Amino acid sequence: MSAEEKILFNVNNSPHVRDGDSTARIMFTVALLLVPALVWALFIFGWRAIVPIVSSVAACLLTESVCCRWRDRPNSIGDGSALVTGLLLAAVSPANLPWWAAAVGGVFAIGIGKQAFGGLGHNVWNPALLARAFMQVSMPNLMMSGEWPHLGGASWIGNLFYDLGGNFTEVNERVKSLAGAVTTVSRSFANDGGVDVLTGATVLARMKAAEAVDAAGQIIPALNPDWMEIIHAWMGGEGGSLGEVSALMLVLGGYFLIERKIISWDIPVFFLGTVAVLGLVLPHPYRLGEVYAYTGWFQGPWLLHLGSGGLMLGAFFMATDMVTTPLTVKGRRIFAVGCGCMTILIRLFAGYPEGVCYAILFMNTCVPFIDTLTKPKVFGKK
Amino acid sequence: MKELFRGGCHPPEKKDATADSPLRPAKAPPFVAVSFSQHIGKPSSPLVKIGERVLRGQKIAESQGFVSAPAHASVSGVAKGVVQLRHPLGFLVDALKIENDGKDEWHPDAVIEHDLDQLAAGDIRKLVQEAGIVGMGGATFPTHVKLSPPKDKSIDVLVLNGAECEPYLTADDRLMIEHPREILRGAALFAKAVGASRIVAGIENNKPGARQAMLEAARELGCGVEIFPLPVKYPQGAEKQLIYSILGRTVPSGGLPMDVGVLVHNMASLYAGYDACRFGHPLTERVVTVTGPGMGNPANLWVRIGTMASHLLEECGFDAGATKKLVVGGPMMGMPMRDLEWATSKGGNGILALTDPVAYEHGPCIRCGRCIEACPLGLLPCALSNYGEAGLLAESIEANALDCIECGCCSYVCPSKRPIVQWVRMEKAEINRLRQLAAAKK
Repeated sequence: MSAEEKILFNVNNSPHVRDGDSTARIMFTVALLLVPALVWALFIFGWRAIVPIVSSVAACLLTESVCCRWRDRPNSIGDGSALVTGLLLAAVSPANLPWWAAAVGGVFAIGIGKQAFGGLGHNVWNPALLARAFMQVSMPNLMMSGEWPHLGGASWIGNLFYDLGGNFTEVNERVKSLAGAVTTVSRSFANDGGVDVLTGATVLARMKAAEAVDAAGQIIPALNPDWMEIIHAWMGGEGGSLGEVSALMLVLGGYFLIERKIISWDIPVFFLGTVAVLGLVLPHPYRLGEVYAYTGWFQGPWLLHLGSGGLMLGAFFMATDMVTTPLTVKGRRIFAVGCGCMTILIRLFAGYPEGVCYAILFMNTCVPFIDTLTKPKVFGKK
Repeated sequence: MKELFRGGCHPPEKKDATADSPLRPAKAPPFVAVSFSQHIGKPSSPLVKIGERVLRGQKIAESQGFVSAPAHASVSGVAKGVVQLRHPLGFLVDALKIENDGKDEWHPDAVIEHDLDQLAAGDIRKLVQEAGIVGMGGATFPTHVKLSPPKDKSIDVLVLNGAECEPYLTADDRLMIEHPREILRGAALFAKAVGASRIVAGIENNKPGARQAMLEAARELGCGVEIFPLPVKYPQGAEKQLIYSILGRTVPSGGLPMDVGVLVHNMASLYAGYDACRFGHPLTERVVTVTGPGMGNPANLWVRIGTMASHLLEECGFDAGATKKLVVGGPMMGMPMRDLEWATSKGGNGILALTDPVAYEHGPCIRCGRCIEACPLGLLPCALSNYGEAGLLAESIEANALDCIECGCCSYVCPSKRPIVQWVRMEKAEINRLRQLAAAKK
């Protein structure tokens, strides 16, 4: 009865049961929940918007494969993280971005943003946002030409707004007057004289640039949005990048991210909460002739702040990226509040109209410090 | 209710297969192999000659030193010789093979009855020590040592551990349902031994039958035992977590429950303590839950210490072909066995035949933070796993690796399937080895 040397059963160490969740499941769920927003973008911008989506996803997957081969590592496409980066990059790209520009962004996101740091789990910054920042400085004309959605004519959502707005010309004129700098208006006369494509400054850009005259002849801040404008921002009537156009779809995706326990509610709630509060409370600068003037306290268009720009995308899909956010719940809350503050600071007082991207990248940089400051208390240690 | 301990996880309970199966004796084994190392501490040394007939309850190996426990024959029969068996931790240990003559004759020294009221604290400790009782939840720390706290530690609460938070296991559950009086009497004895004035039994809420039985028995005996319902959460049964959940006391890092005036005992140990003090029976059998998807007839069995796994599993319809992993203990902290050439021991409360995938490819840490939320000790398991992977011992010490209780929650929740607790175990072992080396040099 001497102990046989034959091993019949697996002897790896406990625990012998594991939770069913996996990295791949997390990543593919995130990708899936981004789809509604991107499909919405297709409705709004038309089929052409598929170009940057396909191009950046393909570039990300390809770069991931090539880098894994160079680094002599098993191919990690299967973990789904490159797919998520590709979709997120598409979501922060304008709809009329040429395919090659989207591809360059994808190569940068994965090659420099992720693999150069050692691959999944080791990157400091969110790869998609890093690529967006890169593209914004290296091809600003392509990135800033925020395309306006179809207004009237080609897309049903446009018709919806057309109906809401009552009269297209009226809407158009108002938009033009607000935007101040509508760059192109290409008209198509095929369909009740609607406009096909309209490019111009987004509502956030207008916020700073605009001035208006009220009934009494006084110059007032143009951004005193009516409901129409807020609905526009939330539903995708505004211009912007692909994933920015529908705050509502992003909230929907975000809700399921929380419900499926992929992310916790902390980051979105603290991020959005900070933006809403500061967006309401802080005085907003606006142009008064050659100088800037400020609105009073507690007059900010907070609903517009929430619905516009990449905020929802940032709050639910970017600032919740596990790799580039703090480890503990407390740390994540600090991180999210920081993101909110930076977003508003950039939106109101810095050179760029939109602050979410840089706010998150800035806070990504702070993660190691936050982690050090928020270590949990060890049980029984003084 | 006081705040529950931090962290933890909820692995599927899987207790249904055996929760309603009453305790019954396992089939008499043709022979037993009683190990001399069934406890933490020095192995005991053999007392009997080969070829000698031994009786049930006869001491066959004497303890070596205070932190050690004697071993007893669990059947009557002829001592055939010393054999080597695989210990759950992987190494080989000596065991005495005794051929069962089927008569089950008790040794006269093992049937001396006592009037419990007459027993003084010292008598109880002595009887427990002589009976070879160890922590039967799996830790196998000699019970008489726990009953002999140093003079400067006063113990006011005895906590009865009825959490049984490991999935699959129902041994304590059944013991509480069927023998609550014995357990409570054992608790009263242990409380007397350490001078504890208060006894609290913590029972997880997934064991309503056990709680009811214990409540009724406590009322009937009038012994003033409090029954404390615990929310179901793993590792509720870990000493520090149990004490915190029930009493709100925090055992200091590196300390023991007695540092906060508490003594925790497992239900099976309490039962054995009663059996030893009342009837003089040494520990020769225990309840084992034999279950898992690879077991055709899962059951809760009274198993003689030293019963060979092959014999026991046959009775339970063990499917060797389908089983990928054979575990002694629960699925979260139990020990995997490589074959069937081993015998049951005092600490083994369950045997699981698992058929699921048993090995995982692990990916990089994605910093999701789930392990931190799950860690009951408030450690940073993800950081520890990285240190383990890279072999950074100084960083591991700095990150409190030695506080880890190895519950395995971190590995359980990790979406990258990283063997986190396994790395921490490695770090702890290495740190302790180096410290021992350093101490030996001095």
